[in-house]
Amino acid sequence: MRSLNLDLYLIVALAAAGVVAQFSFVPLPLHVVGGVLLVLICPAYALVSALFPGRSLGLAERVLFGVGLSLAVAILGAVILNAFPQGLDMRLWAALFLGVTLLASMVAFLRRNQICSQPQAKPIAWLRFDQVILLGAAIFMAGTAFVLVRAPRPVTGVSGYTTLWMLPNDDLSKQAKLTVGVSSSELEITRYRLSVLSNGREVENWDEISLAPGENWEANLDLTVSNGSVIQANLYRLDDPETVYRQVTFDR
Amino acid sequence: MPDLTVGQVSPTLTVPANEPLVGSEAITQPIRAVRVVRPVQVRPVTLNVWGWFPALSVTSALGLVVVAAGDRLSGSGVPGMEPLYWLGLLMVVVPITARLMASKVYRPERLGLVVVFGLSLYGVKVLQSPYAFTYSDEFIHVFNANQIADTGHLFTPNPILPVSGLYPGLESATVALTRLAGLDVFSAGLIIVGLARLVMMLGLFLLYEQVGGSARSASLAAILYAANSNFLYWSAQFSYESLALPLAILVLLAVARRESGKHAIEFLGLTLVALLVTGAVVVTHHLSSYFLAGVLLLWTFIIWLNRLLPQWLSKLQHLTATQTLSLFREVTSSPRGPAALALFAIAASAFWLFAVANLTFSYLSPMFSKAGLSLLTQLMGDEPGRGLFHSTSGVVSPTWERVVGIAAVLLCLIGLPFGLRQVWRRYRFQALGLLMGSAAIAYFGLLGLRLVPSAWEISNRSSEFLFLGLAFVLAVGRMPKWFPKPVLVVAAATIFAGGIIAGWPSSLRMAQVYQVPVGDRVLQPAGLTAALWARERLGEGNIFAADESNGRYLMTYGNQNALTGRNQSINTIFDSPKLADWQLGLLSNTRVEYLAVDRRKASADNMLGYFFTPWNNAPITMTQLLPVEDYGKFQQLPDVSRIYDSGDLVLYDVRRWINALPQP
Repeated sequence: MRSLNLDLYLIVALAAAGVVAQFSFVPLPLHVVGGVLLVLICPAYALVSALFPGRSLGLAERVLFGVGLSLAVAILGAVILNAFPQGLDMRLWAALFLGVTLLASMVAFLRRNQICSQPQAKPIAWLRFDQVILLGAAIFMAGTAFVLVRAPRPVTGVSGYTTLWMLPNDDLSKQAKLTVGVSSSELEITRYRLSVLSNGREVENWDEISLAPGENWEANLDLTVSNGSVIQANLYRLDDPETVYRQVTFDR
Repeated sequence: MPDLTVGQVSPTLTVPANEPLVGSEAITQPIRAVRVVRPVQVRPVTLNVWGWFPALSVTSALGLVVVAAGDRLSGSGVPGMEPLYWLGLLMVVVPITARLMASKVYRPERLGLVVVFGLSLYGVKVLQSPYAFTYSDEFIHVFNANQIADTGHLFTPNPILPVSGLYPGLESATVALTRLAGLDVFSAGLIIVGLARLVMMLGLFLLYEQVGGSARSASLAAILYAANSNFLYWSAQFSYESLALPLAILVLLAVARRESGKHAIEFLGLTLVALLVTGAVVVTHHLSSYFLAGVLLLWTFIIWLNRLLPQWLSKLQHLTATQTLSLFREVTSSPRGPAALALFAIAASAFWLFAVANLTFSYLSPMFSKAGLSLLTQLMGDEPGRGLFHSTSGVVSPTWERVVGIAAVLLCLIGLPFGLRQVWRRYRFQALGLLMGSAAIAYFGLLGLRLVPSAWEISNRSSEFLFLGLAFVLAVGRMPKWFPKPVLVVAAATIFAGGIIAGWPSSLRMAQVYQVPVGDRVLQPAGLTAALWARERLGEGNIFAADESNGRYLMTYGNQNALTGRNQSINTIFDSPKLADWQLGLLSNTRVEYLAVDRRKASADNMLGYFFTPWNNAPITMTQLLPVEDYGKFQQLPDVSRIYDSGDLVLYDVRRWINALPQP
């Protein structure tokens, strides 16, 4: 019996380690592993052991019920934690999953000791070494597929775009100042000319703004906008200087 | 008989070859000499119960690599990658299907192949959208998860799908992972939905095995279920049904195992599993919880009918009121049947519906009322039917897809009577068996609704529930022995392909251009850029009127209060040359502060509008844009500022104009 319950001690220890990982400075991979153990694996194992202390349940059923129960704990636990003033606080989350693991492990311990005779455990169908290698290769290839699809590759057949925007610094003031900005999401370095008009009269001009893809530019306009003013900013591409490429307005 | 040792030949044990041995003479006659040999040591034979599972896992993984290659090219703007897509899918589907159709396959191998099959198909969906969640409903649930993570509380409002915030099961599990494992919502969501897929495949296999009594038919039914039109993409998305339906199947398995009576020691455990997971289903998705409650109720009803109807009929005519009450008590206290669990499921669903999520009425009822009305008007000839193989964005499926799609339905119809015959012969005294058969028939009954414009969604959404029955019926059907197995494999692959064709438009099955790497920078779609700009420059919580796709970007990444689509008919303000009085009133009532106007027609499509628009070496054509007068009308409005221009997408500040409108 004692050898059976070592697994419960291990599960509780792993859950506790998962909690420690949340509140200490550990590398990110350990943080992730700790969290997955705490949320998904430890409660699953403990709950299945508590609810099915015997050996009648096969491995597939144990995995299925375990995953389902750990998800149910997260879902129903959230509804319960929501009632607390702190809400879904990280500490409460951690306490929930650790508490469930601990409680379920204790129940499993007690129930296992109560069972006098157990049916013969179903033999586990172990994989051969070559089969393990093949499965490992399959997992590796599946991971490769995911890495492959995310690997950067030059894109064809789409157009980039440029963004022009203009906003007042102070919306509520009767005499607001304006900021104008240009962002390039074009596919190559692009050169622009920016002209700002106030009630149809040019008041500001930038002859050349050169932006690489992903670059931004902005400037505060040295003019005051009063009621009734219409400020208009026109952006031109230097390779097509006659066409208004982008236009924004501020109507006071 | 002399004692002999190994290798010794007895000289006395000889007999002439043709002389028969008769009576006592046989004892005295010498018999044929024999050589005594060492007894053979018989080693126990280790059965290879995993069979081809490892090898077919490799072929499935190779299939994923092929799909990934196609998606990588497609996501880079290269057209015509569909052959790679279909090749990769076939590499997953055909070998496993062929192997599972064989009879001499051990249970562990079958189970393993079913799991690999389901997870590989999930991988196809992940490869299609590898950077972020880009389906229309996924934006909604990402927003909900972000809100829960930010506020620490459930039931946060969602401007696009208000009812979704009242079923926070998926988001709760996801946020638990984000908070405790330090993952972002995308990674955590992939894990949660992946686990749901694992639950689905294991649950299907074990449930079908419980009902059918055969691992072979269980494995075939589980993979045939994947042929339903929503399995590959819809049921794999980050959305609440993707988690709730697998959990509901788990409950049905727990109940079936409990009711079988074979595992008395597990009764308490199975009951608690059923109760807890039912609670989780109720909190996660409305339709799945109603489905679960309905199945449990019907199950109970069938058991009662099977067992008690003969008694009732014989007693009914002689009953007094007291006797009737007594009989009712006897029936309800019957120890068998999931009556108590059915009542729990109904009570839990009703409680959640009335106490927490009564918005569900206003969400679901228009779907059914519009469907009913549309069906009536179509039957009366007042409304044209819906064209098959036409997507909402106007994409028409190519001819070969239409042929395969129709062939898939016909093949299911052909297989149906064979399966129903077996269901009647072998499973008609099992409640779940009868329910499966009924669901299979109902599937075809509702299939006709796909021709009714407003009822299409009911047929589509019911398919993932009803196909549970059809898959079982097809799997247990027995074809004549002379029927060649390869033909069955081709038929299964055709049914599977037909499901994909019916379930997702051809233009969207592969990866779209979502990110454009240029040097060390990565360019994002214009809608995403605008949403991030709005959050940074305008602050959060502003009321935006937008089309379907930009509205989702603004809500999810901009944290804005976005009104989109059919929500109060906001979509109508973008596709008319002039604003009608009622539209002005709508904008005034909703206190809209900003407009997001996208001239691309694709932006109104909640499946298509999130990506860079491919122009295939030609400028974007005018047929892909709204009429100038439609998207340009806002420029003419007084007191409106055009604050943001990215070419196709323009943002307008309409606060002063709205404030100046006559108040209602």
